[in-house]
Amino acid sequence: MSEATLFNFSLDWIKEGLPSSSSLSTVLQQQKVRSVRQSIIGSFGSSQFLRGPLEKAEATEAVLRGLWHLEKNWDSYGADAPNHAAIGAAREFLHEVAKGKLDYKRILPSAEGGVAVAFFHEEKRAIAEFLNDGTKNLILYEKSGAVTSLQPADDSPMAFLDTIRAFLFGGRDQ
Amino acid sequence: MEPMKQEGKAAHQDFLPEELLFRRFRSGDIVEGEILPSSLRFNEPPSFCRERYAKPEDTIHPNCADSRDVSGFGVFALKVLTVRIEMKDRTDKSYLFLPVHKPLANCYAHSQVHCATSMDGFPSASAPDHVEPPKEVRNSFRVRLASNLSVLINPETPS
Repeated sequence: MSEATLFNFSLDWIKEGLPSSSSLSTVLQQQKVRSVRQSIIGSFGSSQFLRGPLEKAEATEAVLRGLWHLEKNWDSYGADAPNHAAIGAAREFLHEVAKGKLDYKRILPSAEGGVAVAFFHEEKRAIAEFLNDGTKNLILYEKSGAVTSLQPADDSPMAFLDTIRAFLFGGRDQ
Repeated sequence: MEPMKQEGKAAHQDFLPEELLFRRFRSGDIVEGEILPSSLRFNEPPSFCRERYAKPEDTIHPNCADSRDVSGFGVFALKVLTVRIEMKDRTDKSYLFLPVHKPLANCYAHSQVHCATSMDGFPSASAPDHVEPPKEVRNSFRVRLASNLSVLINPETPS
């Protein structure tokens, strides 16, 4: 089982328990799922390989839940709190980020109303914004203030991730 | 001491290049010592307190914050010469950024940064209407602000 696959399905099981009987039709299937889940949990104590991504995913989800409770005017200048669409789009993107094994620096509210995900690498900065109106925005710049014109081919999470990776790391390994 | 009140005084649109513009920020806006462009909005004209009529601490006084308690916020400053700039989009259309003095009854120093496509006689005429710049121009301007600000008052960190 790959780490990405493990990340995809194990979190919900661990947080919410087994899938309901409606989604798994037989007792045999439930037993199989329980067995896999227990083996995952049992691995936590000894495997950094498994524990790291899951802890990061839990932390990511906690931050996103926190943003949901933010109120309008959180910045004292009238900024809107992130809405359901913005948080959902950010969650979808962060899922790709986790699968792509890229580390973000911070998730924070955007002053333009939405969610921002920041990436740092040396002097390079990438900010992906998921705004309340459903649009997405990518800001790529150097700490010195130089802005790059590099932009994703489309608004998909994968295109954002590819562009961020290309800007931050060029052709080099992370 | 309270921030200067308007008390009938008119707006003055003469901003010197070295004059500072003050703005509040939260502790959560700092990432490894940096305030990121995502913490600076430009879908509406952002508000500042201008140095000519305010001290940095006036920015976190309720009179300059719509009567809210913002005492735990930090304050950063930008020079007018950073804000006053012309930027072009990919079609070569110009966007002019400029500070505009917009006094409030209890906060005479209140100002905004507007974006205009034409100055139309400003500052002798009234301030030009704010236009929302296209995304690439807005992003460049937000990065410019984030890269040139100085923190004057640190925010309280949450306990």
